[in-house]
Amino acid sequence: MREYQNEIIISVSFIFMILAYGYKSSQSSTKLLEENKIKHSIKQLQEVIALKKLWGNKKTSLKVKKFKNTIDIQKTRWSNKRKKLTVSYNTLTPNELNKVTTKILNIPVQIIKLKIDKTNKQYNVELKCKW
Amino acid sequence: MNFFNQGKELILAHKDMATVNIGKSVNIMLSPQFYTLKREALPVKYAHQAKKIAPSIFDGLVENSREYEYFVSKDDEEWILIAYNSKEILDFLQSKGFKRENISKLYFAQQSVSMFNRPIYIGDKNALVSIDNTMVVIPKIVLAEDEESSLNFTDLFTPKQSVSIKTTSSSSNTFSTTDTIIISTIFAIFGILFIVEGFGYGGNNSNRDKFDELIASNLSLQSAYSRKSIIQKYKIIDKLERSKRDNIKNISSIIFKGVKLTNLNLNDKKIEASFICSNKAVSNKLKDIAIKKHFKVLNITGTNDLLIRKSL
Repeated sequence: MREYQNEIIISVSFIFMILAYGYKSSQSSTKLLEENKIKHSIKQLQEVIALKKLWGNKKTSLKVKKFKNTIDIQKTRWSNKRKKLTVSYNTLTPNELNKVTTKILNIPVQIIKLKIDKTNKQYNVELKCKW
Repeated sequence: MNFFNQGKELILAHKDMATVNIGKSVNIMLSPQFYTLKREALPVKYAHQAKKIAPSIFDGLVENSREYEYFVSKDDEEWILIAYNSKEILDFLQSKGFKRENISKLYFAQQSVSMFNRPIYIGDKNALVSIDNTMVVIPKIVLAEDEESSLNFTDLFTPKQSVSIKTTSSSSNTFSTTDTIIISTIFAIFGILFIVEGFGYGGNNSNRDKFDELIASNLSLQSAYSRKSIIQKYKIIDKLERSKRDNIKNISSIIFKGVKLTNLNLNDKKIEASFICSNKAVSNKLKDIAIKKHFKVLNITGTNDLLIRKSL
């Protein structure tokens, strides 16, 4: 045994180095895995927050309320109940039609139905949406 | 393997040497008593080629029953070939008190022949001398009177090229104590560095802090499952609503002079629009544009009017 003393010492120190390297590598890969997981969670979280902010925004009701004033009340039939809007417009000029479509497209609501019919030079519009 | 050969004591080994008691690593120079030498002009260029044919040159000169190793070196036009038996040499050295782990390198006296300008006495009766450029052991008695003083053998006799003793089953020590200390220290330092580096990976994580911050301000999104289901719900809405808006914009962008929108229908499944076109050319142009925007185009029979449609 004494004859191999030097080889044993070197082998033991080498094994120690290899085990330490293994420890370092495992720590490194665990950290990397955890980092990736957290990065993914952050991305997911940010996405949820952004989507919620857009499509689940509490201020949407206020925007819809303002939308009511877009067109003269005489031409408008308005029904807004429990975050559901049903509105119909009669005899809109092309300008008014543009106004209505542009505004509604910029409000984050789910458009369930949009029907535009031209009669003579005027337009009738039916719109159903929810949020 | 030896990183620090320089500075090691060189000891001349011969059959009449006294027992030694050495606790450090030393180099050994062997007297011709431990090897058989031959000079030959060989038709080879390289030492490894000479080494290959060495056994045939020593055939009959050395005992076949023993296992010999060979050392070759070039001397002008001739090759110097040395046959030696590691085990025999090692056994002898160990019998004289050398520990295997303390024997660093072996040299042959022949390698330093130029240094032997005077005899060196080995034991009471013999002397190591250089005759015709060959080291030999001769009785002291045959030396001339003027050669009676012995040359001082020092470390300066150490040649450049050395041989190592082959490891055998009964004796194995590839590394000297110094080498062992150096190598194992290097391994240990690396090991410690790896461990320290490994510990370092458990430190601060800025992403984790950011995640915790986001969760703290959105407690309802704490569970990955709820995040996933909310994302799924809103992604569907987002995709569909963006598609509806893009298609309405596309339809309004294809209206040009001569084209009038008569009807538009949009729901969750499809978008459909009818146009009146003033003539055939306008109708064809509108058709091309609509196709480019991936709408399905239908001609209304008997007119220039078009119906375009797309599934959402």
